[in-house]
Amino acid sequence: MTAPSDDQLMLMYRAGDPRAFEQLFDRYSGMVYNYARFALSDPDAAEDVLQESFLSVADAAEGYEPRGFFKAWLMRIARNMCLNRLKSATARRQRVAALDLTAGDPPSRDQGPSEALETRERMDRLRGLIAALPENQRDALLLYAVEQMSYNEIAETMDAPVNTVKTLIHRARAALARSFE
Amino acid sequence: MDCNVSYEELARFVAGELDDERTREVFDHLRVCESCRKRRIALETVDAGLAEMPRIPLASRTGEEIKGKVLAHAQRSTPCECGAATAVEAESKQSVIDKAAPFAKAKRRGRFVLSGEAVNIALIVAMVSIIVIAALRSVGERANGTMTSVSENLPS
Repeated sequence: MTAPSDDQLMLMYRAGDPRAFEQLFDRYSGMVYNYARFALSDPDAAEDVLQESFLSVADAAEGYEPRGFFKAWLMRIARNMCLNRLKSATARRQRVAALDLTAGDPPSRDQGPSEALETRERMDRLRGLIAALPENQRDALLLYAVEQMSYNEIAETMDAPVNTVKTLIHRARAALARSFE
Repeated sequence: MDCNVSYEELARFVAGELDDERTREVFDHLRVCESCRKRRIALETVDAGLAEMPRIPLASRTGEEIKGKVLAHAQRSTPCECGAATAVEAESKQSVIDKAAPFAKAKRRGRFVLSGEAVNIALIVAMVSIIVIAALRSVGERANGTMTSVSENLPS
């Protein structure tokens, strides 16, 4: 039996089945947290965004229109919450100062210590460069490369045309590559 | 030789997103342009790094705590009943959802807050109007008094 689609789960939740909402949480909580963690560079703030995003989804369930874009809708809510936080001066300072995103890295299983360190250093460098990208480029790249969303989904998430999203992503890749020449 | 391939176009080339004709042209260009070859390697290094980038996991205990709170809210939530949220929180959260339109029809949980503001504004406008009318009337009366006293002093 195939798993119910996101839209089906939302409709089931609306009809009074809270387990459907739990399935949606299980399906996407990792993605929302990971995105918020990258975007905010702050684990506590990322946890808040995760919680608030799903509370908002529950509150807005009645008005949800099942058009096959639940993931994009959810990520748009999460992104708006991240942007709201980044608007505050405190959050902005934290973002610049706290680029230490390495604490949550899972330990590498098949690398020796020096290789693992090298990989970690490369990842740290890449994360630092990503964090320094312009906001739109950074978000488009994270959704594309880390969250593996399609161009269409990212366009829906960012409320931007698909071609704009492609341009943002390729510009971001080019900007990162300049630092690796 | 002149390099007519921008970094961004090279990024599209590496991602396989150029049309066939332009792909062939860039491919031929790469044979003779060392600078673009270096750029291509840098782009591939970045792409490999992005592909390897580990997701940052949520600590399982924290994840369960958040899940518990969210599900408790979802279970008791008929969408308009958001017991714990203050008016400010509700309005802030609503603005995030509104910005996520057109996926969802916006539900105005901040309606009461907005209508309260509207009443305040109406009261202020009414008070200002009363003060202005009273001031105008007073000025009018003084002017009338002056005119009367002037006319009384005029020689008949």
